[in-house]
Amino acid sequence: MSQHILVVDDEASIRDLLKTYFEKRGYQVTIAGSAEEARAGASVPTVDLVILDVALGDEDGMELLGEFKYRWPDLPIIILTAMGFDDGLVQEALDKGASGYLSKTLPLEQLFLDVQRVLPREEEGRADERF
Amino acid sequence: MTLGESPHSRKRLPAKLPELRQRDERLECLLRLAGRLAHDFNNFLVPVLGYAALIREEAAAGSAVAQYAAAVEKSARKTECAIEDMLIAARTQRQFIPRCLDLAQLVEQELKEWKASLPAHAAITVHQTLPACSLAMDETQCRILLKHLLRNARLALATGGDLRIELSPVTFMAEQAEELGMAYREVVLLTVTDTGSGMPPEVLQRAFDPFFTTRRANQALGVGLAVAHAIVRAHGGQIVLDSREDQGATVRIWLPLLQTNEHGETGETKLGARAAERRENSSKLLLIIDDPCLAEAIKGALQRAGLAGHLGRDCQEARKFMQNHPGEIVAVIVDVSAGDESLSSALVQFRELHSTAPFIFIRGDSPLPDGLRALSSEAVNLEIKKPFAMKGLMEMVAKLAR
Repeated sequence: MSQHILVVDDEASIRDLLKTYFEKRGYQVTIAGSAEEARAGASVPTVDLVILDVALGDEDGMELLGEFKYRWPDLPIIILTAMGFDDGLVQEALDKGASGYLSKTLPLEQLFLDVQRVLPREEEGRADERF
Repeated sequence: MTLGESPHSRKRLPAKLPELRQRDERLECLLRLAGRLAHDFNNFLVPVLGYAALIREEAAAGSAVAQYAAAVEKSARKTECAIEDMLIAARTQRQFIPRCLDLAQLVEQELKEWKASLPAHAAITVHQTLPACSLAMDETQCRILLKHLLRNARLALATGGDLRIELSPVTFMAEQAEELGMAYREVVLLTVTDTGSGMPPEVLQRAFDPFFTTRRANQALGVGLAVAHAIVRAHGGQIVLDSREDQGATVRIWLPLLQTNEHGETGETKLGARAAERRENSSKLLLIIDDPCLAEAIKGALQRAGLAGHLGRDCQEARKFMQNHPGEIVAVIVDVSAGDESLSSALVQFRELHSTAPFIFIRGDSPLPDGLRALSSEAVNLEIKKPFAMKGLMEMVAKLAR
């Protein structure tokens, strides 16, 4: 079974792009456009990794990061931002347990490499049980 | 020099605090808006860049479609650079890493680069007076500030003329510092004067506004002085522009020297508390890169990020450096793109000796050899593929250096 990524971004065009990109590389992708959709999406036990936008329209992505890491400590989360490389945000994201922090405008291949880096290998199985 | 009797006396100060305060408040609002716009623009750029990359990926190599896609990407990346400037201006405090530096040295370096970029027939004469002066500044922001000032001067001097760039220490009286909205009395004045086309009052009044430009749209984005203003204010300084049509322009920037203020704080203690903290945790990166251009580019980027990068040309040299700095190396950046097998085996030995510092592998098209991949057992290694954006590598370094 292919690995499952949840993409959370309030920009539909970016969600669709990431879905297309990662599906082409053999991943199963679910998209969420709001914090509420993200909570529902992340609670699905098959989700292996979350790609999370910092500036969600209805909620702060950093808050959501903290909440997700509290509920599912072993769920890897990569933070994406359109704010460029921000020292303060990087530190905050890492402190809250993010597995990666990337500017959205970096080449998609960079994000792909990061996803490969943080996703547990198929044969290792899921690290935790989420409910 | 005491300011009371100097050419920069109170009478000569070009603006009063209420005016400056009004301007600063207005610019702060505009910059917040510009920062928001820059963020939104970045969001618009992502699908453009992403789909262009996907088209390029699917098109036959060298085909017309692949070339069109590459052209779209190239154009979008140019926009990204301008947006980055705007984001820096809008969030100077968030990316603020001040440290002690000699402003004269930085001006000289930037000026040298600027002069080299001038065409032979530019007919510009540069006069410089640059005594050494120590400031607590964020080097990246300082360089951006100087680049914008020089870029503006270049455009103003399109038909040739004189550029005068000077640094002079100034001691303010308390009321003079207050008049400029500054907390420090020991300052350095950076003056950049050109004999170019100057500007009429209505242009002068809006010169600091972001996206305000009198030049053709593709010549200038109109963020130069807005960025300069944000950077200067973030450093506790002040910037003022004087100009008359056909009589050139003078930019005056006052920045706090590394001196004590009335509360006994030094510029460095106040501005650089965070920097000092970083120095305490000063982290070293070891570079094993045989391409001198790549090594130089990475060292420069590390320096701008306030990190020390030591270049060990081969594993043996790198190992020696590691032995002399036990526990200080936070990561090893190694270029394995040449696919050199001897380097791979040397790295395996290297890892046996030093199991803590993670590697950042720079690789080419070929995937990382299994031998190197296996090195990640004791530390989380990262990899980046050529061609890569320096920003991407710096983000990796930031993750490891903390």
